[in-house]
Amino acid sequence: MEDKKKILIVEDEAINAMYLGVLLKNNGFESTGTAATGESAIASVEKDCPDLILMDITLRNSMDGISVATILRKKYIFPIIFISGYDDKETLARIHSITNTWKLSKPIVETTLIDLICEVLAH
Amino acid sequence: MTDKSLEKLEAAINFVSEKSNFESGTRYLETLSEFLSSLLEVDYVIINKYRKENPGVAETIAIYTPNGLAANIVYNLVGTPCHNVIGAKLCSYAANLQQLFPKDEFVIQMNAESYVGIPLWDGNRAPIGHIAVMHKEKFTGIKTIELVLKSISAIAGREIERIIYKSKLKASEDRFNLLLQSSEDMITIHEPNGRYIYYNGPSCYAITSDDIVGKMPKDLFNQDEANTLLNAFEKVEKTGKSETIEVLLDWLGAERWFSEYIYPVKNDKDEVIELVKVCKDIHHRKISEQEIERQNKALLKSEKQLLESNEEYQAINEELSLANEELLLATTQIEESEVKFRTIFDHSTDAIVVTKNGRGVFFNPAYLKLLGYKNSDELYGKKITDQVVERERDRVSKYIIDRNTENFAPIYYESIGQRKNGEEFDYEISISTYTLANEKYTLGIIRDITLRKLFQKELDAQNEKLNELNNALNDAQKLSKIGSWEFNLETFNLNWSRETYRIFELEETQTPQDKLYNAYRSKVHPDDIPELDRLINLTSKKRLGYQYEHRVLCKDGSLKCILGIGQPVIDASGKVIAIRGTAQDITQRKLWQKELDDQTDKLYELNNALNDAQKLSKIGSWELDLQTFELIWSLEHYHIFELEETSSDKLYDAYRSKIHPDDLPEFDHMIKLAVEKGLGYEYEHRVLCEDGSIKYILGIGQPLIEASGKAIAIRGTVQDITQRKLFQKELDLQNDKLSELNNALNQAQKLSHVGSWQWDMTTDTAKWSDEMYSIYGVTKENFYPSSENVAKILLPEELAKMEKAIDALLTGKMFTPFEFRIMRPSGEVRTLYIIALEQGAIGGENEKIIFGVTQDITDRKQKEKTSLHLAQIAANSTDMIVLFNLAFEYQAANRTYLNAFDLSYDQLINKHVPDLVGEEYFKNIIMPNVTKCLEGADVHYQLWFDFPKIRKKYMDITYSKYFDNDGFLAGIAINLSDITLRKHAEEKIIRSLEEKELLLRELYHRTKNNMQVISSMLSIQSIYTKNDEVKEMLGETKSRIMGMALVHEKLYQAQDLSWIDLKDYINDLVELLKGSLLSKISNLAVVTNLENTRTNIDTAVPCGLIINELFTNAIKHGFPDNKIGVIKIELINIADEICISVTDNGVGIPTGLDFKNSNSYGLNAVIMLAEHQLGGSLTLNTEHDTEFILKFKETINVDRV
Repeated sequence: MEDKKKILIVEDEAINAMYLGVLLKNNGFESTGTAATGESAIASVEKDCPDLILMDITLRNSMDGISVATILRKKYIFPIIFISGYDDKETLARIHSITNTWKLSKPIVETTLIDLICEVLAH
Repeated sequence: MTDKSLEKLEAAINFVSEKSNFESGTRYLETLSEFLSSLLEVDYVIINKYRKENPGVAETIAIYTPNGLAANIVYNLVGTPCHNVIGAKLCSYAANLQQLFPKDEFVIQMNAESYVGIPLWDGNRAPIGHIAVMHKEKFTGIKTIELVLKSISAIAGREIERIIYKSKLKASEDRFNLLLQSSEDMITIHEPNGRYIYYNGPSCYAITSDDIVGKMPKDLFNQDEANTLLNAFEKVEKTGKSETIEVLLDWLGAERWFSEYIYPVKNDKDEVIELVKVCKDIHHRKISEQEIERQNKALLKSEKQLLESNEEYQAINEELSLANEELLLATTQIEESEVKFRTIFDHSTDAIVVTKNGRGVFFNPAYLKLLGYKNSDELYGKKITDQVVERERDRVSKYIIDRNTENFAPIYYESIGQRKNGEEFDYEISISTYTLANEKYTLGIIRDITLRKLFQKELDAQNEKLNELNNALNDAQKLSKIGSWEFNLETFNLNWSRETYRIFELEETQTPQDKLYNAYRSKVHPDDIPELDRLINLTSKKRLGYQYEHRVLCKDGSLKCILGIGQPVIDASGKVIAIRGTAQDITQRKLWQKELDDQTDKLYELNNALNDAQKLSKIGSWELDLQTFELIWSLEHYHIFELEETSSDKLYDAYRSKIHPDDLPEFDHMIKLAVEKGLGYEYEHRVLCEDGSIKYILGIGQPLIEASGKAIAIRGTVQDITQRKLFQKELDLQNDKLSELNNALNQAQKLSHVGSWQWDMTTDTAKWSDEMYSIYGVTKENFYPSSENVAKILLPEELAKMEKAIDALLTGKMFTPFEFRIMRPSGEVRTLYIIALEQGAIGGENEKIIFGVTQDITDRKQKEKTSLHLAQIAANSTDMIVLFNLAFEYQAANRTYLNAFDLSYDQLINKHVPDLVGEEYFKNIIMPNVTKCLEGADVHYQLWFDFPKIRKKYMDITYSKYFDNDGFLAGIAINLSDITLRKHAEEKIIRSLEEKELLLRELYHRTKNNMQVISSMLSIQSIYTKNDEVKEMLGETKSRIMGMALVHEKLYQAQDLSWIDLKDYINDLVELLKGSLLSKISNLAVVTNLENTRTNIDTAVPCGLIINELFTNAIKHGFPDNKIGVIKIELINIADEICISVTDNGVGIPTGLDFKNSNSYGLNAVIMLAEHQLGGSLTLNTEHDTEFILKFKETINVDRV
């Protein structure tokens, strides 16, 4: 059997992070952990080098998810899936300016998320 | 180089240099090919040219073969040795040609072994063709061949170029000819002197080339037409530029318009060698042009007329606007004209009388004086014939009756008047009539002619006396005796006749002849002797006759007057030998003559007196003797006609020449009647004066008829009646003017709401003009304008004013014009202004009548009031108001404006706008807005403006046009409203709104996030629990929460944060539900049919929950055992109701189940939400499928937003 894909969850809402973690685990993925701020996310990536990041955009007391992604993209090419309720044009434009990114709106539908992760990682 | 090759080269050069010996073009190239073949000793010489359109194809011009010139061919160069030559250098193949070019059929046909090709160039160094030389064997001396070909290549190239050009030229000529021949225009080519050398002869004209070519224009056209053409030719030749002229030619007997377009054909030296003329028949065009021009002119004319009538219209308008002034002017002019008349009447020396029906109504002072009355009252209304002597009354009365009954009556006659004291006097009268207010008046101008009559009588008497004297003289002459005498100068003997002795009172017997002379001398008065001696001496010596009067002393001491006549008697030798003569006693004659002279002097004096009299009355008299046709004029007659005293025979012609030509026929007719029929006449005619003016003459002629009834003379008078005429004319003019003024007055009254009235104080009766009635709002039929009736219309508070005014009038005090108000019968209150203009002349019949005008000034008052209010409003407005004219000079501003700029009113007025607001602001803001405003657009904008005193303010600015009193555009009014505070408040509100929006958005976001967290919690719990029922419950709750979260997401994304589209929401919700129920719906198709529906959060949330429940229920219970089916969700708007239905074609709900009274949490919640929260209804329709229908009105929640 193939190695489990490692996924980093960046989410400042603990419950949401927990839910995502359980969801991933139940669907056969390995979570490298959760980060609640941009800084801890970068540190976690440096440490574990995930295959994919699920990234919330608004992160309390921190730079936002898109800024984190911009910094990471300079060094890493792994895909990043943004999960956010923000659907405004500006946000979408910022996301699209970074390569290898996807966007899912909240509230998420479990199957949709899992399908997307599978698809992204298959590339 | 060998000698042989040198020779060949030389030969080639010679051939080239002798080119002129040969024909050019193709023929030359053929010769060249033959020459080359023999010179170079080769089998084939081919000269080609390339096709311009396809340079890969060559066309031979000359092919020289061992059999001589061959037919030309066209061949493709590809695969031939020639192909390498195109545009390249000389190319040689000394041997093996066929092996090298196996595809070249010609090479093979010709069995060629060797080849030299040289390219040919045109003048522009473009490849144009080539010369190929081929031989059946190897070349000997290929170098020579190359050299020779090089030497001739240039000339061959030129020749080909020439051929190409020639063929092009021919094609163009052909085209040109075709064009010419098919043209319907007449195209001719001319020598510069005009001679025709070509004519295209279009078929539509009946002339051919033979008719024209070789001829000059003068052979074909008339002199003028030919010259026009030749002038145009000359101009074109001189300027070298084309020229178009339009000419009217005599074409087959009719005039027709042609356009002649002439252009020059030039040679390479730019000299004009030929002229081409294209002649086009433009007759129809020209005619229509002329017609258009004519119509344009007519159009212009009517436009002009329109303008004029516009101007007239304007003029009328102006006139009307002046009507008020005219009213005043009219009044003044009426006064003036009356004064003028009065002056004329009062000061006229002629007596003037005006009668009506034969009774005197007006008499001037001169008349009263003439008739001996003191004032006109004595005569007023009396018969005019009372002032005529009784014996004349019948005649004059008849004239008056005839005149009144429109029958003929003389307008000039003489009669005898009777003064008050009974004294009689002769007068002449000139009559004119006029109509005033439908009454016929007669105006008579009377002149006392007593004196003239007297003089005339005296003159007649004197004339008679003169006749008598003349007769006496004649008798005396008959009786006179003349004595004769002869005086012998040799013997000094004097022979006397008996009469002579008697005359000199000498005795014949007593006086011897030798003593007679001395006796005679002794008788002669001593004073006359020297003269007598001198004459006798003169006669004897100088042989002159004499006639001499001298006195003789008579015995009784008296003196006799003797007329002596002496005549010398001359002998053959010319010597005077005697004097013969007569002596005549002319004493009596002398006496008579003296008497006659005295009489003549007297007559002369009388005549002078008459002349003076005539001069005074400007009456000249004359007499025409019909037997001798002698015409005699009085001095005044000469004076009137401005003639020098002249001889009688020329006088009549001189007289006629003075008469106005228009009056001559009538004059001649009158004279003729007088002469032939003895009829008297009276007529008026005009006389041309030296200074160009015209005199009016009244001529009267009366024939003098002798007993036999034959007219022997005509006597008459002429009178200068210019003055009278002028008066009359002036009178007519004044009358006309008066009636004009009257019309203007009526018009003016109407326009200015001015009515005029007259009020008789004594009877309290009034006459009103029409306008008066409309001012008072009454009609002639229902209102009588007495002061009592007028008082009823007055407002009660105005009565005192009116009474005071009436009192002033009645007591002859000063009347002050005043304003008062009336209430019309309709209830309308009007303000009027009354002026009493004048009172009838004191002592006159109008003495007690007041004339006045009343004007309705309500509108003016209202306007004044309004404008006063407006001015107050403007002055006290907190807005700034400023007016500037179209020259951008300030005209007015209110205090607020002046304060803002810290200016006084005087400092601002007439200041140029840019000087105050700055050039840049003026140019960029004011100018464009003024333009917009003048174009009629609304100009309203807001901006920050930095005022000198009140500093930066946010102004709301409005532009509008303003008009002067006459309604003309006068400038721009700008209203500036300080809205700085409003602006600040607005900004604050916007900021606060923006903040609130942000907060709300954040709130929605957080709510949604919180719900997401709750949902996540439920998901985790669901994962951890083992109990399926709990799992399901958790899943359902999660769905419900997510449904609500979705509403918040939609709101957060919505523009205005309060409204979402139910369609979008339901779509997303269904997707969400499908995602969470994925395992259960693989057998189901979900169909939606949704309309866009705007709802607020309070509607969207319950809708979402209801759909969630119904949809989940349908999936859960409707399709057991993976039954295949369809769930349909519909959203439609019916009128103001929103209708949502969820339908499934599953197994349906159990029969007997009352869905409104079930134990299911879901159904109960749905009913509650539908009925309680949305105020709608939920129905179940199980007829076909299971269909839940939710109906509600959105309005129930609107006010909760």
